[in-house]
Formats: sequence, C-alpha cells, structure tokens
Amino acid sequence: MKILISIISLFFISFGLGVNKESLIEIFPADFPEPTYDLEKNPLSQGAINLGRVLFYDPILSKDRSISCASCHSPYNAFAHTDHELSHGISDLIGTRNAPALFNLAWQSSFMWDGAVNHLDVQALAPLTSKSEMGEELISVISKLQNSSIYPDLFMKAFNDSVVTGEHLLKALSQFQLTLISANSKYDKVMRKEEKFTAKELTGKRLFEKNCNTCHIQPLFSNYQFKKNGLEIDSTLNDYGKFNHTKLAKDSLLFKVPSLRNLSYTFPYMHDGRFSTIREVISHYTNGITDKTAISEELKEPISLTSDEKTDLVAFLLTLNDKEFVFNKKHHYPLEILKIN
Amino acid sequence: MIKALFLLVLMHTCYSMSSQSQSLAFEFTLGNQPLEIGVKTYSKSLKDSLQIDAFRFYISSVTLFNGKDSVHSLKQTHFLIDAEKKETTKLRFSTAKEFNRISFQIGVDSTTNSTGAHGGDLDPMKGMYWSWQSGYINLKLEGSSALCPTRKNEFQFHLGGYSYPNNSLTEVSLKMPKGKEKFILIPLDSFFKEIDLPFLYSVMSPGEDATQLLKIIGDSISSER
Ligand code: HEC
Ligand code: HEC
Repeated sequence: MKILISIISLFFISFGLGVNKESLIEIFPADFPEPTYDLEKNPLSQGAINLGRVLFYDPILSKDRSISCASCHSPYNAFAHTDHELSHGISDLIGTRNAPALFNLAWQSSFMWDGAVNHLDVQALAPLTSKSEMGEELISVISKLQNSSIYPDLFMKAFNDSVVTGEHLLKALSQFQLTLISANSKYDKVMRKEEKFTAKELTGKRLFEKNCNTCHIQPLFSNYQFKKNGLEIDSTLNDYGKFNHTKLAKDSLLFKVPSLRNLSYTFPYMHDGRFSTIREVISHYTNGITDKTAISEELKEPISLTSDEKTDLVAFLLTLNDKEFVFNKKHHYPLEILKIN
Repeated sequence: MIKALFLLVLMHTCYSMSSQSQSLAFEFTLGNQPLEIGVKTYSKSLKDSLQIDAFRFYISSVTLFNGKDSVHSLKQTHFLIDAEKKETTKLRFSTAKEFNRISFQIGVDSTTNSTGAHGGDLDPMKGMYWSWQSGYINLKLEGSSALCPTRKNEFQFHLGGYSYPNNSLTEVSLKMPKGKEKFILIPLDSFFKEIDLPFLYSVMSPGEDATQLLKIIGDSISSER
C-alpha cells in the first residue's frame, strides 16, 4: 500500500516538475533576473495557458459582449492601445488612463499606473467589474462561461475540473499573460553577442545609461517602482497617481515607471497618453520639467542633450523594439485552439 | 495490501473516537431578537427601526486555548460567514482537547491578501473583493434606517484594508463556557449604538473609519447568550 502511494506520488511529482521546468526554461530568459510571480501557486500548463488566451480574446467577458481584453490590449501594439489617448470601455465610457502595454508581467510586483493592484491574478477583476470598463459582475461572467459550449471543456483541460470558478478564471488569465515575454529585441541580441549596435545606437546607449538607467533599469527597462518624472498635472483629469488609493501626501503624483521596450508599438506615451512621439518625451526630460520640487531624486540634475544626441538616444531606444514578440502567433487570436474545440 | 488498508481504517476510527465533534455557532441579534435579513425590526435601545439586507464577514485563524496554551487550530483558515445562509454560520471541528478560550480574527490577513487568486470561501466570486484596488472586504453590512439621509435611507459598510496604516484585521479573544455546543454572539444593537448613522452611513474603502468600525464590532462580540 505504502509503496503504491509512493509510486503514485513520485509519478505525480516528477510529472508536475517536468511540466514546470520545461515551461520555466521555455518562457523565462536566462539573462533576466528572477521573476517575482510565484509559479508554485499557479504552475504553468499548456491547458491553462490556452484557456487564458481564449478568455483574453473573448468579448463574453463584457456585459454586452462587445469588448474583450484585447480590445484595449492589442497584440499588434505589444498589448497596449494606440487609437485613443484614454482607453474606451463599453458604451463608449472613457476610462481615465492610457492602457499600458502588457509584457514581462512576471517581473512586476504591482500593477496599474498607480500600483492599486497588488498581484497579476487579481488585476482582471478591475476591468471585469469597473463600470467604465467591461461593466460585468464576476458571478454573471462565471455563469455565462459555465453555460457556454466551449468553456467547461477548456476548464477541464486546464484545471482538471469543468466547474468554472473565479479562482481558475483569474489564474488562467494570469498564465496566458505570463507567457507574454519580450526578450528578443536587437538590444537582447547584442547583449547575447548575436548582433552589434551601430555607432549611433552605441552613443545612444551611453546617453541612456547616463540619464535614464536609474529608473528604466536594464534589461527590463524599468525598476517597476513609483516615481515623479515631472509631468505637470492635467487639470481635466486631476490624477494624483499612487496618492489616489493610499491617500498619503508622500505618494502624490507617483506613477509606475513603465518599461521602454516596444515603444514603436505602444504610443501614445505616459499614463494619460499626452505625448505621441519618443522625441516629444525626450524633450520633456530636457526642457519640459518646470517644477523642480515635484520630481524624484534621480531627475534633480537637469538633463541637456543636443539635437544629435537626442537622435542617438532615439536610435538606441528603437533597438528595444521586439518584432518577434509583437508578431508571435502564439500570443494572437487563438484560432487554432477554437478549431480543435 | 488489504490488511494495511484495514489497519489504516481502524486507526482512523480509533482516532476519531477519542476526539469529539463540536460546533461553534455564530448568532446575530437586533432589537434583542434573532436577526432576520430583509425584515424591518424595531430596536428599543436604539429607538429606531432598522432593516439589515446583508451581513457577511470573514473569520480566520480560529484557535482554541486551554489557559495560555493553544490546544487546537481549525484546519480551514478562512470562513465566510453569511447571516443569510444558515449553513455558513456554524463551524464544525473535532478535538479531544479541553479548551476554555477561543481566539480568531475578523477579516483576511495581509499575506492572503497579497498572494493572488484563492479558491473556496476566498474565491473573489463570493463578492467580498474590491476590484479597483486589491484587497478583500473583511465585512459587509448593508441595510436601511430612517436616520440615514440617503436614497431609500440606505447605509452601506464595506470594511477592509490589509496594509499599513489601515490594517483592519481585528483580533477577538473570548472565554468559552463548557458544553458541546458553543456560541459566538454578535449583537448589532451595540454596533449601531456606537455610530452616528445620520452622519456615518457609508464606508466603502480602507481607512481609519473602516478599521474603527471593525474594532467596534470585534469589541461587541461575546460568548454568552
Ligand atoms: C476598456 C479598456 C480595457 C479593457 C477592456 C481591459 N483593460 Fe487592462 N488596462 C486598461 C487600462 C486603462 C489600464 C491601466 C489602468 C490604471 O492604471 O488604472 C489597464 C491595465 C492592465 C494591466 C496592468 C498592467 C501594468 O503594467 O500594470 C493588466 C495586466 C491588464 N490591464 C490586463 C487586462 C485583462 C486581462 C483584461 C481582460 C480581462 C483587460 N486588461 C481589459 C484598459 C483595459
Ligand atoms: C525618476 C525616474 C525616471 C527617470 C530618471 C527617467 N524616467 Fe522615463 N518615466 C518615469 C516615469 C515615472 C514614467 C511614467 C510617468 C507617467 O506616466 O506619469 C516614465 C515614462 C517614460 C516614457 C513613456 C513610456 C510609456 O510607455 O508611456 C518614456 C518613453 C520615458 N520615460 C523615457 C525616459 C528617458 C529617455 C529617460 C532618460 C532621458 C527617462 N525616461 C528617465 C521615470 C523616469
């Protein structure tokens, strides 16, 4: 009896580890730091990744079945949104912030521009239940999924249980989003010694390391902390960032440092989408900061760049575009999964 | 193998025989009567008619003590108690140990609050989770009273908050009389006596008010009927 149990558990353990290890190697690049997402609590499996991907593209998640996660997070924009400065939800209610790009989420420990969400798993509750976004209550989403022709089977394949629960819905969405990894830009290839920077890109890299690397730290190009980068408050929005949910004076105007990967796909820039080109952003850092008291320590030294230097800095930033990521079919509309089902 | 299985079953039976199955029942009162959800009730001590439409809260880390020594901890770490669903108001457990004190927390601890999606009573589909900001709602109390200057005289308390300086997790420790069935009594009159409904009728996010109100409820709890 005991032996039998041990054999069975050995089988399960090794099988479990096998799945984990394989996916770990596959998805997390060796030259990146340790991810912060705890995979032991939500071990990756192809079934759950597939389910998350189908959910991500399915407007069934919104009340009037008109909008999916991908409506605001388009794969061709590195999962950001480019049409509008501020993202649009159902009934054209305009959200108050620019939809951020989604990639390398496993390395973030807080989410949203102001960090109001503390874990990737629970992030989806915000668009699912906030009135200005998908306008749907979780419990009715769950019953729609349970009664659909495809989902009980997809949940079964993902979690060995065809009963739809909030926990499994959220964990599947996390799994798909964890696979959105951008690590194949020209910058990454140069770091892996597979390609070489041009002279302009190399000058740009030096300028970047002198002026920007304190917050937009390599190789993720963010420290994922909350900083003030000197943007003047937009009086039509009055968005005070982290202060909005902590109500602590020290958090006023703090916003999350975004990654600078894939900038060519993710315009417009900043939490409210106020800049539409990278050059405008650079000019903000050189000439646009008016109130020197309202910025973080790292930016207290004024930044001055000649026109040529700005061009070089832009050239370096463009090496962070990851075409392979943006055009990776495994992240796109899940046609092949839906065909099988 | 069959022998071993038999032994296992036997051992299990012996074990359960020595421990005693017990229960801990939550009871709620308003106007000195058992609370009825959705029914207007007059409270003499409050000189007010109130109706409670929802009363739900989390209980966690239930531990039994004999004097100073903890003798048993309930295996399930979090329970969602809903005054409207009788089956959720009784916690069952078995222990062979004597105990004369019990401690638990009202709410969900900060570790559970910051480690992603959970299932069972903690599944966000239970409606006890904020969406625009991470965190469990530790306690929901909704209803109406003529004292509230609001639409339909409604009051709404969604109390929670897990991080400094608004950690609202509330410790409760109660002496327990002997007996197989034990009770934990929450008299809502004491809560409403402490708050000023004409001015405080809506608390919907973490903060000083939420923490304070949870403490008031915690302090009003007793084990005597
Ligand atoms: C109506 C547009 C819209 C829809 C639909 C939408 N989002 Fe978003 N998403 C946003 C906006 C805007 C933000 C930033 C919000 C903020 O900072 O307050 C955001 C933020 C996020 C973040 C945090 C990223 C970060 O770096 O902090 C994730 C993850 C995310 N969304 C995933 C999803 C998923 C999964 C869905 C579908 C369940 C979804 N979104 C649906 C607009 C949308
Ligand atoms: C004090 C830390 C800090 C430093 C130093 C810094 N940034 Fe930023 N950066 C931020 C923050 C915070 C934001 C987001 C601000 C917001 O949206 O409110 C941001 C946003 C950006 C964005 C917009 C990205 C997007 O997806 O919206 C770009 C581009 C950018 N920074 C480039 C740079 C460059 C180039 C430098 C160096 C010249 C630099 N940053 C230096 C903190 C910093």
